[in-house]
Amino acid sequence: MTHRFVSTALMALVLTLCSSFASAEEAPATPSQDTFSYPIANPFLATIAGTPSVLAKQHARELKLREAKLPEIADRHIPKALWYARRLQYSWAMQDGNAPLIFTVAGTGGYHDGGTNKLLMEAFFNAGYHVVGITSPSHPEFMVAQSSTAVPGHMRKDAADLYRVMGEIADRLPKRERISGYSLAGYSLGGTHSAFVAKLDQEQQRFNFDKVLLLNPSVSLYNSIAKLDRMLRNIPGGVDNLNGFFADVVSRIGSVYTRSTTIEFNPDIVFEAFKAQPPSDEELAAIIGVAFRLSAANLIFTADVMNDFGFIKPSRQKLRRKTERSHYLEVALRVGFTDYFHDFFWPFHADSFDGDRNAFAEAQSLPHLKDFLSNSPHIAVVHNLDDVILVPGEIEFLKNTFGNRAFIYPRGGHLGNLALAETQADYIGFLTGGAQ
Amino acid sequence: MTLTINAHLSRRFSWHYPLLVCLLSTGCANNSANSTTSSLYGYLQDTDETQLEDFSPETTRRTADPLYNANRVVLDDVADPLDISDPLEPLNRALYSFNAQLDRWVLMPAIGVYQKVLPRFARSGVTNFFDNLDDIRTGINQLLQLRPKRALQTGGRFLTNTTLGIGGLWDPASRFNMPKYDEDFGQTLGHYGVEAGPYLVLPLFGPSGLRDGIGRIVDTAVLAQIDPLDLTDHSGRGYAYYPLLILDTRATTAFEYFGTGSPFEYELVRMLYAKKRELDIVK
Repeated sequence: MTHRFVSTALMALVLTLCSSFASAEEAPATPSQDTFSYPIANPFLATIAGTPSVLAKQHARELKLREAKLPEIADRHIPKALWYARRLQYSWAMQDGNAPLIFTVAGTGGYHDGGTNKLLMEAFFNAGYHVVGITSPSHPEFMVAQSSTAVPGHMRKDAADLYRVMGEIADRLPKRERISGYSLAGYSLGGTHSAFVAKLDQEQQRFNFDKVLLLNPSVSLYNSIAKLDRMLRNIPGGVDNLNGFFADVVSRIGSVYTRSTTIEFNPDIVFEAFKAQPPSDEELAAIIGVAFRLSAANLIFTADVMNDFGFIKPSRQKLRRKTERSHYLEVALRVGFTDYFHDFFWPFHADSFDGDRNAFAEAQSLPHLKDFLSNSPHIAVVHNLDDVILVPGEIEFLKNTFGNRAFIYPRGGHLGNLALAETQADYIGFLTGGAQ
Repeated sequence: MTLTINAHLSRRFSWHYPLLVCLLSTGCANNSANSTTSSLYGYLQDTDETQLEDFSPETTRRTADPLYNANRVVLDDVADPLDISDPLEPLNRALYSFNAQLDRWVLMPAIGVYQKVLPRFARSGVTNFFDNLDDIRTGINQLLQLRPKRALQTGGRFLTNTTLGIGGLWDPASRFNMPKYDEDFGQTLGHYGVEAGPYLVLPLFGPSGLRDGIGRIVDTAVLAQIDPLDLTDHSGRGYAYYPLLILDTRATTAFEYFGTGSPFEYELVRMLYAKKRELDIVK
C-alpha cells in the first residue's frame, strides 16, 4: 500500500495536525527524542502522512526506472480471471559505471515501483547503487506469476521464491559485468522477507550479500496482523459499521470537493478533507486498518482462486473474466489477516510443517532467526519506537539481537520517517560503510 | 493503493461517438495482427458461466459452500457502498476486459509514438485546444442547470482562451485564475433528480451509466449541431481531429488497466465512478 502522497497540500495538513496532536502526546521517553528531526508525534498520522517534503532528503539525480517482465512459467495453471497477472514485472536503474546492485523488496501488497519502494530506490541510486525493485510476494501479481504456493506469508517459502526471482532478474539485466556486488533491502513485510532471504543466501551463496537492510520490518508476522486487524475495531460501531465509516469518509471528502474549484479527484483531496476537520486517533487507526484490509482482501481472494481452496469463492466454481464477484469482495473485506492465518494459511501449510500452530506462527518471525541475525554483522535493522505494527517487547528484541546495528528512532510510526534526511544518512551510511 | 479516478476516457469523447467507433475499428483491423483481433473478439464470446474449471486431480469433487459464505458473513439489511446497480455485470465485465486489451494493444502503443513524434509544448497545445472546446459543453449545461454566474465565467474563459489563447492552443484563462468547471448533460439530469440508473461500461469510453450514457449522446448531438470546427463542410479536418482527440484524452488520463493489482479492480472502479459522479452533480 502507499502511505505516501507527500505534497505541498499535505505539508500544510501535517503542520495543522501536528499542533493539534502535540498536547496529547506523552513526555519524551528517550533523550534522543529532543534532537530527532522528525516532527510528527502521532504514530498513526506519521504512518499516513510520511515525511514532510521540506524535511525529506533532496537527491541530486532523478531516478529513471525502466520496467521489464519475467517470462511466464511454463505449464503454470493460471485461472482465466487472473490472466493479467501472469508475468511478474520488475523495475531497475543502472549506474553508468561499475557499482554494487541492491534489490529492494516491497511491503504488504506493495508493487515494485510503489511509493515507498521508489523512495528507497532513489536514495540507493543516489548513493551509487544499481537498483532493482521487487514486488512483494504478498502482491497478487507475484502470487499469480511466481509464488510456489500462492499462499503467501510463509517466510521460508516466500524467501525461496524471492531468491529465485532475484536470480532470474539478475541474469536478465543488461551490462551485468558492471555489477560489482549485491546488497538487499526491504521495508515492512519486505524487511522480514529480506531477513529470511539473507539466511537463504548464507546457505546457497548465489549473491553473497554485502549488506542487508531491514526497514521497519514486522518482527512477528502474527503479532502484526493481529494488531492491524484490531485497528478496524476503531471504526465507530466496529467492523460491522465499515460501510458507515466509509460513507462518512466519502462525505467528508465530498464536502471539500464541492467547495473547491479543482476538478481532479485525487488523494490530496483526502488530506485536504482531514485538514478541515482533523480526525481522531481512532479514525486515523481505522483508516490504516481499512488500507491493510484492502490488501488482505486482494491477497486472500487471489490465494483462494489460485488454489481453489473454497475459502470465499466456492471451490470448483469457475471464475471467469465475466463472473460477478461483488459478493466475494464484500466477504473478503470482512475477513482479516487473522482469519486467513487460522482458517487458510495454517491448514494449507500444516502438512509440510513439523510442529504445531504456535510453532508455525513463531517460524514466521525474526526471533526464529535470532542466532543468525545476531551473528551477521552485514545486517542492520531500522525501526521506530512508536511503529504501529509492533507489540511491546519487540523493540527490545531488536536492540538485543542487532546491538549497534539497530537504528531505533523515537518517532515515525510505520515507515513515516524513511524519507527523512537524518534517517537516510544513518541507513545509507551503514550500507556504504565498511564492515561493522 | 492509489486510485486516480478522473476515470478514464473522459466525456470529451461524446463528440461524434459513432464515427469514433468506426475509426477505431478500422484502425484496429489495419494495424494489428490477426491474433490480437481474434483475442479482442474472444472477450465478447467468453459466455460460459457455469462450466467448472478443470482442477486436477480431484475432478469429481462438487462445488461446495465456501468457508466464509456471503450468506453468513454479510448482513442483508446493511447498505453497502459497494452495492451499485449493475444488472448487466457479465457484459460490462467483458467490455472492461475488451477496453483493457484495446488500451494495451492499440491506444498505449499509439501514445508511445505520439509522444515521440510531438514535442511536449505541441502536446500541451493539443490538450489546451480540446479543453477549450469542452467549455462549450460545460457552459451549455451550466445554463441548463440555471447557474448563470458559472455559465458566464465559463463563457469568459472560453472567449479569453479562444482569442488571447489563439484558438485555445494556450490557456491564459488559468493564468488569470478564471475558474474551470466541468459539466455535462448527465450531471444536468442528476441535478434535476434523475437517478444514475444501471452501471454501464462503454466500449472505448469506459465507466458510465444509463443516465450518463444518455447524457453523452445528448452532449454529442448538441455539439454536432453547433459544429464549432465546421467538420461538416471540411471533412478533411476530421482526419486530424479524431486521432488527436483520442490520443490526447488517453495521454492525459492517469489510469492504467489492472494497475491496482487487485482482483476486485472492476468493483473498485465501479464504486469510485459512482461516488465521483454523485459528487460531480453536487459540485
